[in-house]
Amino acid sequence: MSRENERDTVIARLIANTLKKKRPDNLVQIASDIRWLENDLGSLKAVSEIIRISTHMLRQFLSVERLCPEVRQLVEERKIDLINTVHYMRSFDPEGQKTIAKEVIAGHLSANDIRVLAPLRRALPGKSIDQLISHVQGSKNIRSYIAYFSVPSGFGDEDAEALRCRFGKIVGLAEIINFGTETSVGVLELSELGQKKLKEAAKERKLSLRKLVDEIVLG
Amino acid sequence: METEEIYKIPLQDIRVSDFNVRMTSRNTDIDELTASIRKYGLLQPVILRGSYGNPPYELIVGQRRYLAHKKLRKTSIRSTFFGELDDTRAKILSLTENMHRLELNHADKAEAITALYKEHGGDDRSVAQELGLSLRTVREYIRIEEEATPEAKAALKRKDISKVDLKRVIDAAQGNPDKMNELLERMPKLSKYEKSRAVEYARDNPKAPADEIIEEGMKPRLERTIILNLPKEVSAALGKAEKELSMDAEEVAARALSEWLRDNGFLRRRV
Repeated sequence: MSRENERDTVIARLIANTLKKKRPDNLVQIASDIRWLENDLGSLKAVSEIIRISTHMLRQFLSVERLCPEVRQLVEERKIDLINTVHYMRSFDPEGQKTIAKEVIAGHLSANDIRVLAPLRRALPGKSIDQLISHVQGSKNIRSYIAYFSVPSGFGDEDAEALRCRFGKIVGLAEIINFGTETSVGVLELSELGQKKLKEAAKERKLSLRKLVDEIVLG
Repeated sequence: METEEIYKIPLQDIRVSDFNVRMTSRNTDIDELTASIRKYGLLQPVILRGSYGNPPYELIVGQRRYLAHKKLRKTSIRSTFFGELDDTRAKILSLTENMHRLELNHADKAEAITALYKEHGGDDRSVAQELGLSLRTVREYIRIEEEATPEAKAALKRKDISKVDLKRVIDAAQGNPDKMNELLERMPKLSKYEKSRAVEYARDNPKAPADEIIEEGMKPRLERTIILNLPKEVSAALGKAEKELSMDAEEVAARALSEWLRDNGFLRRRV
């Protein structure tokens, strides 16, 4: 492939990766494309002009270069795929990055939480990264999600238990904070992770959350 | 008034103006600048007040360039003259030149902006316009300069506290200087989530002591989200509000709900 053709391919790939919400490539590939184009065009500003995104944003993509190899591998596998997550992780040492990566993949730490971690690390230099993560996680407001549903008539204890299990199959029983069918309006209270799982299930079935809850109730 | 001519002025004929806004960190990166001047010479002349031929001259812009020349034991420096300037103009010129190159620290900027604010008779809009800064930025600086205690300003200067945290401390102290000084050390040790709860609690309870504010900030709250089935039109309107207000749907719905509950007497205070 000639240099010109290669340049066109890289530009096309970068535009596709920075304009669309669903990026076709992982962040390591994107950073490598930005670097290739920067070398080819002579500056990051030139890349910014041709791709039409700011140099500030391009630098955020390049944050991936400051990750340790193990974490970069996870980014390559798209287990970590959010630009903000990568950007906020870059300032931590390799051990810190690995610990944070584990928590991110488990769904216990958001990009915003990592952003909160950085100044806390400076304010509490004596604390380990695990202690700081626990501090951030423990300081967040506890979020729960409640869905109300109509309890069919003649609903007994066994039916209630069966329904709880049906919800549990989708969201995990541990994620159900509260469940009640004592009155004609039933209550399902879920943790943040439970709500996330229910949302994913609704998306898979192409239903709204509400509709999914009603379908599960009706069996 | 302004002349474009460049003169070689003996360093001994120049004195640093009182209106030069760079009062701290004068020697930051001076070695780098010295090396650059040694290698390439002075690319941009310094700006002096007054006109050529009437020394001593007052240096308005280019203090670090002047110091680098002294360090290099040079005897003269390339200079231009800005003509006769009143004190306010001199300060504005020095401030704008340094401000846009982002080389001043917070303390210098705050002091200079506040001085201009006073000279403009408390008109923050004029200061913002004059300096080409946003009104919000100007107000932020003025607020810190006017409301922070000397201890708080010193902590900011030492970088023991960030500007954002200091604003939180000022908010939480509710005009009480002792409380402000007590919160100075403790606020940065909280997570962002705890800080916002602490400030919220302090605003709602202006008489609460610092200990109580921190303690309340550290208590996580239970936030409940109700999954609703909305009619199509309401759902579309929510989407529109989300887009236009740059807020997520949950926040818009929570606000709408709290307003309705308050309007109908179910909720007493704004949340």
